[in-house]
Amino acid sequence: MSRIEKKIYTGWLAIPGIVIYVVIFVIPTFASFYFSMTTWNLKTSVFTGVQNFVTFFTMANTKASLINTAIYAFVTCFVKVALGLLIAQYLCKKIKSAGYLKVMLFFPTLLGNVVVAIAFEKLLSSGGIVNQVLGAFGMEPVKWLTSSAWALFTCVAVDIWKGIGTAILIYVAGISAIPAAYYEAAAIDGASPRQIFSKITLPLLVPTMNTVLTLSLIGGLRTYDLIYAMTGGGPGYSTEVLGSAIYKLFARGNYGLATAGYVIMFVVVSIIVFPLNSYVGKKEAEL
Amino acid sequence: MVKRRTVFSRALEIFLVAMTIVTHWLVFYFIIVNSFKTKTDASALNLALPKEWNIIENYIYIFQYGKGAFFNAFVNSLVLTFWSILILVLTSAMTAFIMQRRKGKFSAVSDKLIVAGLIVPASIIPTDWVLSKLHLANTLPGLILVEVATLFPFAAMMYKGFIATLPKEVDEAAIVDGCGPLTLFFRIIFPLLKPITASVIILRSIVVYNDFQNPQYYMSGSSSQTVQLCIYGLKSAFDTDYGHLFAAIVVVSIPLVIVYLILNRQMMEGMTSGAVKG
Repeated sequence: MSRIEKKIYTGWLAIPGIVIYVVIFVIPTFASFYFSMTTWNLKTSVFTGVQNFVTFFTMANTKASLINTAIYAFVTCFVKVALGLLIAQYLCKKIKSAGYLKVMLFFPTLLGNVVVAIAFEKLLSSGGIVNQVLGAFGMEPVKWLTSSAWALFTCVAVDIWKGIGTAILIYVAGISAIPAAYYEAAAIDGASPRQIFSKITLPLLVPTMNTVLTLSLIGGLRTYDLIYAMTGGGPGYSTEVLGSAIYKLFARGNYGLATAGYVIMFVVVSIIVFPLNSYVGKKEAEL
Repeated sequence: MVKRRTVFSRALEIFLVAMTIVTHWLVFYFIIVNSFKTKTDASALNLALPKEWNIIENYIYIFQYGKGAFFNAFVNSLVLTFWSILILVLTSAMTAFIMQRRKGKFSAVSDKLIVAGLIVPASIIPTDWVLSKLHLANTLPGLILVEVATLFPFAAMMYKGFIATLPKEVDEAAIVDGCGPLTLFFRIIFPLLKPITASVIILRSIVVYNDFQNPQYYMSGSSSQTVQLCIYGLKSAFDTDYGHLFAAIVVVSIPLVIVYLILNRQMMEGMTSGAVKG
């Protein structure tokens, strides 16, 4: 690199961002590996080896939280990736209400998770409006959030209601970035709509799909606030997820143990998302 | 054949619109109509119109709640969002510019670190520990730094992708005209990044303003709260007082709805300029 370039693209411009990122994100991430092996009260830490991990895996709610996190993350991610694509593809056609539908489906994203949680908790409560309607049709009230059979499923559904707008938005952006010339050429060659979708739209959307997939999978694996505000992890441990289990340890002051929980989450997210990302990246390169 | 297609498409459209009335409008209506009701009236949790309109009393009550605690939290959240987004936009755009233009070891290492940050979850308690060393634990500036650091990778990658489409000749022309590094970036490059900046502002404002997890961890020992934490507290404080609870929910949701309605078009432009794909 020439001297003039070094001067004009001065590293100083990059420094503020890098410093904040390294100090607040990177250093704590490395520090967490040490603190996960200590008993820690934020001031003094005593090294205890793998004790925290043993304790974490013998906790009553750990098994349930791992299974629930997996179900929650994969189901919400799958629906957002697949249904989001279908809806976005439909909304990019010339239909009258496309603008209205885009705004409406995105709208829940503007609401906070706690706001959504409170609203749905009231809507779905035992005497809430949904059960009142079911009752009017002569059906038994459903314990949407207070029975272990339904609670996790209900949380998944609410998460999709709130989050699918973002997926649709990203897909719509991706679809409208595809050059119109491809579609014109396909139309001249007499391709059917199904062929156009599978031979043009879908392959060109692989990078977009990768974005939606990664974002919603990571989101699903890490998140807990929507669930926590709706059910508190209950009834029993039926909606406990990794994030809420870790938060409960933090709230009790078990900082070392909570950090061990974080390291487990780090490993879970990494072993799922990094290989997936490079696999999709390879597919992308092939196309 | 063509006719059957359009009939099907039309039916699907009607179905989708009808569905949003049930799954979206009724939910919003439920929240709003119950925020107008008295305590006894709201406890029925139904969609009926209020027997007694209690609008003004409910909303005034919320703003005065807890000697202004709710109002303070509301202001805190607006301050948090403003500074987080301002710092995020400036730092991530500057870093992305240098990383994209300088092809050296430094750029390569930063690139790897930032891509990893897109995936790896933020470690929370060690971050709190770092903040306490900096005397920023349980403070709003501390929380602002956390929000910036968490959102930094995604914003930096968006900017970097877009800057790659700006030809280097732009820089060279500016340099020939005598621009220094700061003038080049702030007068020439930054204005060209407007589409990305618009979508970063809107999409990340939503994330910061609605953030619950970070404030819950980092502000739990503080007397000042953010509005999302406050709402969570009101959930148990107004356990049977749904009129006031729903009024609080409506107030909290208004700022982002306004921002969205104003900036929706610019956001779409920013996203379709090819930024979100990586």
